[in-house]
Amino acid sequence: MFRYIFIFLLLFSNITYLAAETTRYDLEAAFVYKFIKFVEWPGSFEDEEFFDVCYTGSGEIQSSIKALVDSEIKDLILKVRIVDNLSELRNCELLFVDISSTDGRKKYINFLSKRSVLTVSHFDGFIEEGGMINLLLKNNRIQFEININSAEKSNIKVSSKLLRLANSVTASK
Amino acid sequence: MGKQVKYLKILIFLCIFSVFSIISQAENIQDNLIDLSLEQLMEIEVTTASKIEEKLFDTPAAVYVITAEDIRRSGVRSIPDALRIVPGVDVAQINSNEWAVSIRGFNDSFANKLLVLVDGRNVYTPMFGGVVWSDLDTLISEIERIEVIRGPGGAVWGNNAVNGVINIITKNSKNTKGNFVEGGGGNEQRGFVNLRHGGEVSDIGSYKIFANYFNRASLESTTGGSNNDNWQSGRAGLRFDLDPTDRDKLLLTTNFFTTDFNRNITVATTTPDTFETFKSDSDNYGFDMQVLWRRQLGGDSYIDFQIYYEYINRDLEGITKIKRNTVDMEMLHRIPFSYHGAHDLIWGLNYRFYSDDVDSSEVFSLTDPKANISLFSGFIQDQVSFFNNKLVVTLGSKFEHNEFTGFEVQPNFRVLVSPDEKNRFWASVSKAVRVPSRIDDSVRFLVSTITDPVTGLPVENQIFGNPDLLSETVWAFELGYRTTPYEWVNIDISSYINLYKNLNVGVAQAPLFNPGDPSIILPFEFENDQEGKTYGFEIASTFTPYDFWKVRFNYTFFNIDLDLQTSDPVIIRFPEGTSPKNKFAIQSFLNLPHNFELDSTLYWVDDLKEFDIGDYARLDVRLGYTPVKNLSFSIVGQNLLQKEHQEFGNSFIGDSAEIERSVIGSVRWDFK
Repeated sequence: MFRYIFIFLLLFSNITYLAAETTRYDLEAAFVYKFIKFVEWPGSFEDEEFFDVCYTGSGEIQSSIKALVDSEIKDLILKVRIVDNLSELRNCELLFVDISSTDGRKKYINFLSKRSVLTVSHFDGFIEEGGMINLLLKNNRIQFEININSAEKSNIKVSSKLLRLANSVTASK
Repeated sequence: MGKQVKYLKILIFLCIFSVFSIISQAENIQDNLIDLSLEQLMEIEVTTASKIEEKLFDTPAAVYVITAEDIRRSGVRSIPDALRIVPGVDVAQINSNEWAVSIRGFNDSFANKLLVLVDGRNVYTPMFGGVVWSDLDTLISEIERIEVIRGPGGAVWGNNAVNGVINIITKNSKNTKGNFVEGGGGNEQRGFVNLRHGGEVSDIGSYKIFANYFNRASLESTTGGSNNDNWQSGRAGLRFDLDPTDRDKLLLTTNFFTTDFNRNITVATTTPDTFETFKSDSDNYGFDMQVLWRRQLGGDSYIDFQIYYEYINRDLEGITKIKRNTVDMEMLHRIPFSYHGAHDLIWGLNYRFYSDDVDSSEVFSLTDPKANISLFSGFIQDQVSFFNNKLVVTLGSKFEHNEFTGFEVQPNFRVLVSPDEKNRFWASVSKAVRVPSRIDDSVRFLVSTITDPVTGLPVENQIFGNPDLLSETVWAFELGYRTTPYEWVNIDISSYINLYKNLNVGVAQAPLFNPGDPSIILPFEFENDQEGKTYGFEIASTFTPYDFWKVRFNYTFFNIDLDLQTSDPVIIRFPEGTSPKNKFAIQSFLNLPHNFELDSTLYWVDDLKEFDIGDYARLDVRLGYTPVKNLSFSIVGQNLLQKEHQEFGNSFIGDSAEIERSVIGSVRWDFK
C-alpha cells in the first residue's frame, strides 16, 4: 500500500499555472498599466528607453506593481522604482501612492502638483486631496475615479475612453 | 492482486508521460491580465480566498475547511465521503443510503452529539437529535465550502453541538452567473445530473436556480445477496442574493428535495428469538424557505434577522411515518467597540417551534405521537484583543429554555496567543449539553423477544423513553497549536479531554404484565446512568512545495472510557467500540501539463471492536482533463484497494452492506 505513495513524490521543475482566482492587487496593477496606455504626457518619449513607474508606501500591491516590469508600453520598457522620500521623485512618469494616511499622501500630491507625473492610489479621499486617479473596490470589482482638474494642471491629458469608463470624474481643486 | 498491479502500471505511465512532455512556459498571471481590454478588466470579480485562510489561522478552536475545489478534486459525490478526510470526524457508510457520522466518538446512524447547519439552517432532526444524511446529498454541486469545528460550539450556534459543528455553506449566486451542467455515471452511481443557471437581478443583485438528480445502485449485503438499498434523489432550489441599498443585504432561498430509497431492515418480532428482515420501500421529501436580512449599522457593526420554515415528510415503510413543520426565527447583533482593548461583541436571540405527527408500528411508537415544541435561546459572546492582537480572549455563553429539561446554560472561554506571525497557541474550556430528543422522551421500541426461563412466557425487551430525562453534559478542555514554519507548510494540532455526565442508557425496570396478553414486557427506560471521558489529538497538515502540487496529511488519535453508574441490566446505546482509535489520510492534488489533474487520497481506519470490523485502507484516484476552457472530464476510482469491505454494523433502521470498489466518469461544462 505504501509503495503507491512514493510514485507521487516525483520531482518537477518549477511549472506555474494560471491561478483560477484573481486577487485584488494583481487586478489593480493591470489597471495601472491601462492608465498609462490611455493617458498622454506632455512632450514626447522619443529619446527615452524606459517608462518609469514609481512606487511609494509599504502595501501588498508592491509585488503586483513590480510584476509589470519589462512589459512594453508606448514603445518603452516599463521599469519600477521604489521611492522613499520626495527627493527621489526625479524622472518618475507615474507615482503609485500607497500611503494610508491623508497627510502622508498630501505631501506627495502637493510636491508634484503642476509636475507632469500621473498620481494613482487606492485610498478613500485621494481625489479630494488632489490625486489624479483613484482605484475603488465596489461589489467585488475594481472601478476608478478621476480628478480632471489635477490632471490638467499638470498638462496630463486623460483620454475620453478613460473618462467614459470612470465611476466618477471630479473637477475639484 | 492482478488488478492492483494494473493500477500501479497506469500510474507509473502517467507520471513518466508528464515528466517527458513539453513543459509549458511559466505563465505569469500579470501577462494574461494586461492583455485584456479595460472593459474586460472591469468585469472581473476579485476573490478574497486569503482572508478565509487568515481567519482560520486565528480561530481559537479546532477548525477544518473543505472547499468546493477540494470536493471537486477528491472526486467524492456524497457529503459524508467529503468529510472522511477531516481529522476527528468519524465517517462510516452503513449501506447505500445510510451513514454514521460523528465528531470525536459516539458514532452511530443516530449520532446525536453533532450540530449540522446548511446556510445557517439547523438540519438536525429532533426525532433522534441527529442528521439524515441521505436528505442532503443532492446538494453537493452547490457547496461552496464545509467548515468543521471539533469541540463544543454551544455558545454561538444551536444546542446539540456537544462534540462539534458542521457548517455547510452553499454557493452565493454572485459567483454562479451563467450556466452549469454536470453529468456522469458509473457502476454504483448509476447516473447523476446537476444543472444550474444564474443571472443578475437588475442592478441590486443576483439569483441562481438549480436542479440536481441522482440514481444509486444497491450494494451487496454482508450476509450475501443484494442489500436492497438502491435509491434515487432529486432537489431543486432558487436563491437570491440582493444588495438593495448600501447598508442592506438580503438572502432568500427556497429548496425542495425528495428521496426514494429502499433498505433491508432487520427488526425484532414478538415471537421469541425471531428477527425478521424485510425490504422497506421508503421515501422522504421536504421543502424549506429562508429569508436572511443583514443591516450594516455605524462602523463595523451589523444586525442580522433570519426566519425560515421547513416541512419534512418521511415514510419509512415498516417502521414509521413522520410529518413535521418547523419555524425558526433569530436575530444576531454584532458590535465591535474599544474599551481597554478591542472588543467584538455578538449577542443574539432565537425562537424555534416545531409541530410533528409520528405514526406507530409493531416495533416503534412514541407515547407522545403529536407534539408542539417551543425552544427559546439566547447567546452573548465578547472577543477582546490585547497587545495588538497578540492575545485574544473570548468569553461567552448560551442560554436556553426547552420543553424537555427547562433552563440550560452553556458557557465557553477561549484564549488565542500569537507569539509571532507564524505561530498560534489556543486553549478553551467549555460546557455543552445535549437536550433529550423526541425518541429519548417518549419512545417504545422492541429490541428483541426472549423466553423467560422460569415461566416459559415470551419476554419483550423494549426501550422506553423517559420524560424526566436530564440533558447529557460535557465539559471540554482543549489545547491547540498552529504553525507555518515556511510559506508552503501549514501544521495544525488540536488536543482535547471531554468529560461526560448523564449519558443515556436503557436501564431495566420492573416487568410489566398486560391483562389478556401472554407476553411480559421488560422495559429498559432511559436513565442518565453513564459517565465517561474521551481524549485524543488531531493533526492536519498541508504542504504546497510547488504551485502545481498540494499534499495533505491528517491523523487522528481517539480514546474513550465509559462507566455505568448502575448495576441493573442495561441496553447500552453508546458502545465504546464504534469509533476507531487511530485513523489517517494522505491526499495529493497534482496539476500536470496540458490541463490534466491527477488526484488521489489514501485513507486508513482502525478496527471497530463493537462490530468486529477490521481495519481497512481505502484509495481513491481521480484523473481530470480540461481540453478547452470551461469543459472538463473526470474519471474517479473509489475503494481501489479491495473488492469490498464493511464499515459499520447494522443500525436499527438499516442493515449494513459491503462498500464496494467503484468507478465514476463525469463531464462538466460552464457556459454563458
